[in-house]
Amino acid sequence: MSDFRMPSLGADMDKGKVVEWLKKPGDHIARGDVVAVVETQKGAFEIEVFEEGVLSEILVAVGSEVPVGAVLARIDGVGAAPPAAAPPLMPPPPEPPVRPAPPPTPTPAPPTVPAPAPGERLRISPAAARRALELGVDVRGLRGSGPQGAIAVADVEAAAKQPAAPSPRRGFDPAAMRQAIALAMARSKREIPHYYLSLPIDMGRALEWLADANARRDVERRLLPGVLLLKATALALRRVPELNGFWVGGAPKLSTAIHLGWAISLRGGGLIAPAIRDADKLTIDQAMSALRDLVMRARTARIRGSEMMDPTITVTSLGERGAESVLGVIYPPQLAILGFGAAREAPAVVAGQVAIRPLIRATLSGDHRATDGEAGSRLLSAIDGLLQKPEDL
Amino acid sequence: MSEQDLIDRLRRILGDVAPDLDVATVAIDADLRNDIGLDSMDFLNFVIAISKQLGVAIPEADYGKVATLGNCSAYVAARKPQGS
Repeated sequence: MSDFRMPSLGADMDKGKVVEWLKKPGDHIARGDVVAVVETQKGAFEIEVFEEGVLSEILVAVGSEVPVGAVLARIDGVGAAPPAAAPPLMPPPPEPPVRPAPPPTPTPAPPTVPAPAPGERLRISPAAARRALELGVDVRGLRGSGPQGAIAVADVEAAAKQPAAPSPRRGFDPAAMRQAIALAMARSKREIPHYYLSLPIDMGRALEWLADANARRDVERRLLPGVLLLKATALALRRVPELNGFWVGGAPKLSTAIHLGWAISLRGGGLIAPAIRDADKLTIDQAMSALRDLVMRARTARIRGSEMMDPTITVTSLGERGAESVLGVIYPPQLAILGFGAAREAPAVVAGQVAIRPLIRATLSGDHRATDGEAGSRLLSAIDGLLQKPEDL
Repeated sequence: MSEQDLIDRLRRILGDVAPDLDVATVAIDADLRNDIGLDSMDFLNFVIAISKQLGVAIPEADYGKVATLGNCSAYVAARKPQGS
């Protein structure tokens, strides 16, 4: 018998509200199963279990808000229960180090006229069926205005005019998100003596390699510059592990696993930085799939709680447009945050000649209690070096 | 498919890749990245969905020609395979 507790999904969370139970007493649960959805100030997250057993009792009803650590349910375990450590030192989910590439972002398949369920005939005129295919309208559930309720062309066209209503993230409250960010960032600036470094990186080779690779790839397999930054950062952290981990109990506690927190800006306001796990072990295509999947799930509040707990360092990339550099605020208790500004064409010296090159300014904010600028400097140099050989990433 | 049909279709594709957007309010001349706030990943997902659903693969070099729903519709209409 073990307790399933309200997890802490980060420095900014002290309580959470159970908004959904996905398992009921008596259900068998396996490692990695999502058993509940919990709403925090940063929105709703899916909470998994890391053991196998039977859910014996639910102690917290849907709608109840409880502090971090409160027992939510009891599980009759099979085998050894995991140690009950508090995140972020929680043991990483017992998964193989190299995870299979997640399925591509769920883009709706081209619409087809579905086969009606047995015993139930879908009434639709042939012209309407053709029109539905053309307009990409899913005719299931459409109300027909034709004879005997058959779906007519006009019904399909009316449905096509009906744009999908926006579906804001589950449980997302912009004011609460601001509060969460305020809490974590104020704590960071109060407790962490930051040092800051920056290095302009010539992205010419990397971007040429990328454009060339993308021209030969199917649309679905295209890469973004961000994935090169992600891989270069992850590989560089293997060489400079001092910056990968947490500040715990007055000392650095380094992590051997490299789980990059990738900052994703949310259109409703605020941001979250869930983990790309074992980013150093992913191929470039796996990393791209993982990133696509993560961004899509962030937009629909399908991020798992463990993904919020896992990051061992955060990366914030401003993308193609906008500011030239970002000097990040460390997310406690992490030891550092890396920033990448937008690429800009600027004069640079290449082999003794002035040339116009696309430059990205990489920055590092480090916790001076744990490391000095020397380590941070080595990390930025390593990232620079790796980005000069994009084919090896 | 009429121009309006195509724009409606693109609007729904946009709603699929950016479920947090109110796509009904996106003007046809609004820049999807600068005005609407699609990031590079959202935009790639938009391009991928157009390729899958409408059979038009937009090369990276042409991203500038599909920056708004209106431009994108004209671009896709000119290249759309017959009968899809």
